[in-house]
Amino acid sequence: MDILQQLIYGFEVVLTPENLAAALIGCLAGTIVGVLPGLGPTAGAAVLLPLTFTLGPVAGLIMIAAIYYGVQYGGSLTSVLLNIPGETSSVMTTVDGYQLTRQGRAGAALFIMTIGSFIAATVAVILVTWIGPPVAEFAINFGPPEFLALAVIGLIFLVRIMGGSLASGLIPMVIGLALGTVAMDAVSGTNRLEFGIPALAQGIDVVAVAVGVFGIAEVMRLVADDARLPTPQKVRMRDLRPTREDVRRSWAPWGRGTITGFIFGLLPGPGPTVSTFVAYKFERIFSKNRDQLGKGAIEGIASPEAANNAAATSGMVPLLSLGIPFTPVLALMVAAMMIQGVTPGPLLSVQHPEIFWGVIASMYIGNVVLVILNLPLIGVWVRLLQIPRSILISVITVVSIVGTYALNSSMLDVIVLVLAGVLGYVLSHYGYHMAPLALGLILGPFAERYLREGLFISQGDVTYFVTSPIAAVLWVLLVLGLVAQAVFSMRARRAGRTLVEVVPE
Amino acid sequence: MTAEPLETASPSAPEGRGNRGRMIISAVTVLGGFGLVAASWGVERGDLAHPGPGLYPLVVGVLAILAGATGLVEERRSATAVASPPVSADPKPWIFVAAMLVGIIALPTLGYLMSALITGTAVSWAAGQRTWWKALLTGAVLAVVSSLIFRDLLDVYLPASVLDELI
Repeated sequence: MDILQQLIYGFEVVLTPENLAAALIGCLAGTIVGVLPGLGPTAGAAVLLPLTFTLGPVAGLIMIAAIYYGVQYGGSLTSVLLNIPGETSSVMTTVDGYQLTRQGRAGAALFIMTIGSFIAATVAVILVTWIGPPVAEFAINFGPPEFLALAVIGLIFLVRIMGGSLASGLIPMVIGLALGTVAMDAVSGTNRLEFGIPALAQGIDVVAVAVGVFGIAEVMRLVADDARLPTPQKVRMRDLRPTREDVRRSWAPWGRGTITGFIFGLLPGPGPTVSTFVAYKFERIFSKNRDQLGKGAIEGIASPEAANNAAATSGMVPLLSLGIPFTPVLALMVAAMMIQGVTPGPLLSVQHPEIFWGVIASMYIGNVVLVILNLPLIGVWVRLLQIPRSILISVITVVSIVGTYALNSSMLDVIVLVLAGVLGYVLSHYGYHMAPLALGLILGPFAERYLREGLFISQGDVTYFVTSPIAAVLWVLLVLGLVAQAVFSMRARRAGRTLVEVVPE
Repeated sequence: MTAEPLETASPSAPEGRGNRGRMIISAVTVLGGFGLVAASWGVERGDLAHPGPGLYPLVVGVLAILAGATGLVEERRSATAVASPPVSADPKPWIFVAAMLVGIIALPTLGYLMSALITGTAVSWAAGQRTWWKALLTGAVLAVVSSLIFRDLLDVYLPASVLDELI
């Protein structure tokens, strides 16, 4: 079947009441999570993840995907109105967005932002439609050496690109890897590291850990942070109309942002966040109105917003085509797939075309839904910011607990939730990054599987993992990437500057 | 494009914050690594040609030792040992955890509705709602709405409670 036919099949899958409802609820939830400062996309997706298991696999995955890209739309609202980024991927939007608000042009800024997000996400999903299947087809030839290389690259790059000291990412990563070792061995049936607790034979539930380290830990930070949000400026529907000049100046930044974001989304690491910084940098270099950047230039929001949406969308390519998640939220999608009995990987489009094409088709629909949600309902989102913190925290906590309990009707999962929350809070208090922990927990078992498979096949010859041409290229890219990052860091330190630390969601 | 793509003037990184805390975490990671190595020693490791289930935990244990050691070295060398409050300095998050635990402990014995009511009320209070009846109202609404959504709409099994007959 050619790609267009498969895409039409995807729309047939999505256009059912259950899947459409999942897309709508996911977009709504993602926008709400994005609007509320303090609650990141990973925390939001983690808290809502258990709910998706009550749905079928297609609907569940559509919902999580919708939350992920929905957050990119909502996160910029507070950046513009309050100078407070809703998400890390909205940080750059505060620079010019809030200046526009102070100039009485919040409505125009929000309009440009939303339309730019829509255009970028739509272009990106079209590219995903055409790039995803060939990548999956190519990856069918991958074996244990290639997959092991990809898993290791994903882990190591995430550790390094988060910034800060090496240990800030490495220690959480090994904690995640260690948690993934607790379970009965699938190959030999041997009990492993269960410490006499029968319930641990199934392993430590990755969802309970994710909800804990991202959801509960985030809530603990919210409890600790007494700061109140300032009152946002009212924005009426008629204020949303931009000038012709605004639109004319936005086309090129939208285009640059889209390309930048799409490329960064394909790479390991927090693509949406990193892409916004790079996109803004590009505007400083290429924009005709670069002297106005920082003072309320429309380019300063058009480009980063396009970038973060394009990156969130293109991140689906490695996930759907290779089964390798490069961000924590996508790692949650992998966890969701596994729990639903779906094996992620290059064969997903062959074994589960309804999931592969259903998720892609849902992104087209989701983008339209998000424009409808974000523009006419801006007044609603502004009111959402006035919800008392105690209510918000109570809702998140109860949903986290009941959602986690609902996984396996197990109190062990709830205990893991609380312990993981405390762990996440303590580690993040001292500056450690949680994203490598999530990826370590999810990619660790994959890495073990490919390592053992490879050693079985090669009869113990470890050079098997580097002699495959594709794997060799991947390892070389990893080394080059690490060397380049080390060189940049050294040059920055010598010049007395520091690299920004990309804080996880 | 300049050579430092993510350059910025003022880092938001909490580098050096809680230096003592980071050293403790690094040390615990090293100890945990040794523990993992010891625990995996009792599991069959096989050989390279036929790796057993004990091989991977052994590798992870060694990685943990190295990661913890890296953390210790980095903290010893860090020039920015800024004094900072320990994680236990602010009691509010820990009161929140205690509030959560009160409700969780009630779950298997008192059932979901009661547990959610207790959790919602206690957490609302811990999160800053000092008017007791508002906290209770928050807990009650949360308990009822979440029960209706999970039990009735999503068909999720939740432990029965004495309050079930009220809704």
